[in-house]
Amino acid sequence: MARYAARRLLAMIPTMLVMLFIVVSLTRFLPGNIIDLMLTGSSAQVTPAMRAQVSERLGLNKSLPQQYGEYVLGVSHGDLGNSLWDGRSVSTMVIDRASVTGEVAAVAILVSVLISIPLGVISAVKQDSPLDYGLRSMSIAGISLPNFVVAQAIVVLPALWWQTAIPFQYKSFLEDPVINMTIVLPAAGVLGLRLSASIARMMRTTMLDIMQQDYIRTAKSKGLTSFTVIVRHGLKNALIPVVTLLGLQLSALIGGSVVTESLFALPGIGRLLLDAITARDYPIIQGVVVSVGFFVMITNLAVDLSYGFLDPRIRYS
Amino acid sequence: MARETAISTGNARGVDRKNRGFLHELWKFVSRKPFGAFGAAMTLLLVVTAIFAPVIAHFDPLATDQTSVLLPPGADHLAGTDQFGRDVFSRLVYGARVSLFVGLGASFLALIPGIVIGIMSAYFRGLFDYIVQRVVDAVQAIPGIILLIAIMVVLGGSLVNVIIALALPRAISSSRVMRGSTMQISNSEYVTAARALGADDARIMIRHILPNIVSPIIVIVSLGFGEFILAEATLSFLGYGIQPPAPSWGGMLSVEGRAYMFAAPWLLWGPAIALSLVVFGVNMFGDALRDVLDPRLRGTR
Repeated sequence: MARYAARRLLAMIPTMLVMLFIVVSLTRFLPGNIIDLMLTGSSAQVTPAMRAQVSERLGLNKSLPQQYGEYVLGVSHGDLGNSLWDGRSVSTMVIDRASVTGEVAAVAILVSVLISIPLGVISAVKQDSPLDYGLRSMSIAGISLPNFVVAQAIVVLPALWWQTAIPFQYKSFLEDPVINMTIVLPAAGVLGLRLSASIARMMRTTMLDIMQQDYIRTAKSKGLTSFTVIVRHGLKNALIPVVTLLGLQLSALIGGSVVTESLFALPGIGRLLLDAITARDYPIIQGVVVSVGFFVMITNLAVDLSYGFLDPRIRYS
Repeated sequence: MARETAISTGNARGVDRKNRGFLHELWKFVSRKPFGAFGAAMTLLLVVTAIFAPVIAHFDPLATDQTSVLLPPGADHLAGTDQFGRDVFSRLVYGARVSLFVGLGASFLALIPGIVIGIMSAYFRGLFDYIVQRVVDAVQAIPGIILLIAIMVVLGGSLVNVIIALALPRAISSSRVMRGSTMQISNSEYVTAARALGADDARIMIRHILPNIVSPIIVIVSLGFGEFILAEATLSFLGYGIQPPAPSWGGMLSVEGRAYMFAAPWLLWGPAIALSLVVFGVNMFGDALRDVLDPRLRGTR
């Protein structure tokens, strides 16, 4: 197990190197002069000295291998460079903002699991009943509704119908739990709704499959209550695909936070990215992409390793 | 003699059954996969609207009219007008063109490189495959929308650039599916036979492998189509996609819709409904297609 984990961790290094290469070369390979792009919109007169300074900070005055090498070296020390305009450390900024995105993502996962697992199980147990069809239609609709349409509706509808609006002043949970939750819950709800739709579909399919297994029939014929059979024997075995799905959807969840954070004025990673783009602060954009990518890779590994705990029959080699 | 009659009546009945067969098959499809049928209808509606946009829309989607600003939906303007007096219905209709164009454009642009990389990766294996697979891992680790925004910032917002930005990561990540399918086939006996007969690599890849991975290709295209439409709308909504005044549903929701969401909420309903129905329809159609073409992939989403 430990050896397997270590091997998987080592295998992440080449992938990480490729990702850093993509991120570094984005500033180089794509058409258009990145420095001109960055300096358009700045009010000051663009002097050759400014260009030289920007190009030095971006590492564009060096050769690509040298720029790449230095970036890799920095990242391996946890240094993602500094903001172009105010010189603050990108790593610190990302870590500061991560708590907000993390909170929303955690609440979203909680919401989705609480909604979808009971719905998926009910749908499977009452297969092909009107209830099943209703729940399935709802979950398909949930997958199809674009995040930003739902988010927009949550912003607009209360104001149209009840003349109230969500207070768009983020406070951390420790500062003011009530205000924190009034913003975090709707944002997490938007992301969680979509997630719960896919989990419910997955849950239904898996439960249908499991409920036909021999050990379920054995459990039933032992005279156990149907609740015990469904929860203890069925549900427990249906959770592994859900964990996999959660791991796979984490990337979509962070992607979705770009939309919700911009609509609900949440100061998270997504907002950091959008603000950095407005300011053309390239080191921050690179830093966000790298840290999100790294986080997704680590969680995927954690998901793979968790199978062993969830199902002792699974062994790693 | 008797035998002949039997055969001929059999034939006649066969023809008759064939005619009835199409409607019958259609009905069977509709009743067995109602969502798939609805999705097919929605996809068809999108295509028809996009092609006949100038006939369906009565106004120029870009023409402003200061005398009819922010009118609610009515007889003249079916979906109302926006703050520049542009007809929202006409903009929605032309927006269908943008969606279809992005969906088709990105699908086809991603297709060829995806297939080529996938087949070559599976066929040659070794170092080439290893490097390609690490690139796929890296691209898949970055959330799609974040990668898209990063590419769009460098490319700049325009219809063609949106298509390029959508197709690029897709070509890379879809190559893994092509690779998987190719691996299964390249071990099969007819590939060995072809090689024994002296066929070169290119011939084996094009004549023997490609025709056998057509189903996963169709499935990938049909599932990608809806994702592209949604991604374009999201990009345009955030302001990095198609630039105003060009009509894009995502852009209409944010540029016009958000500014007047309380004074003129109809600016939101149109694009929201159009986008949701089309994404839903295209996804359902893709799902049904996948069930028919590749049962192994069922429930993978």
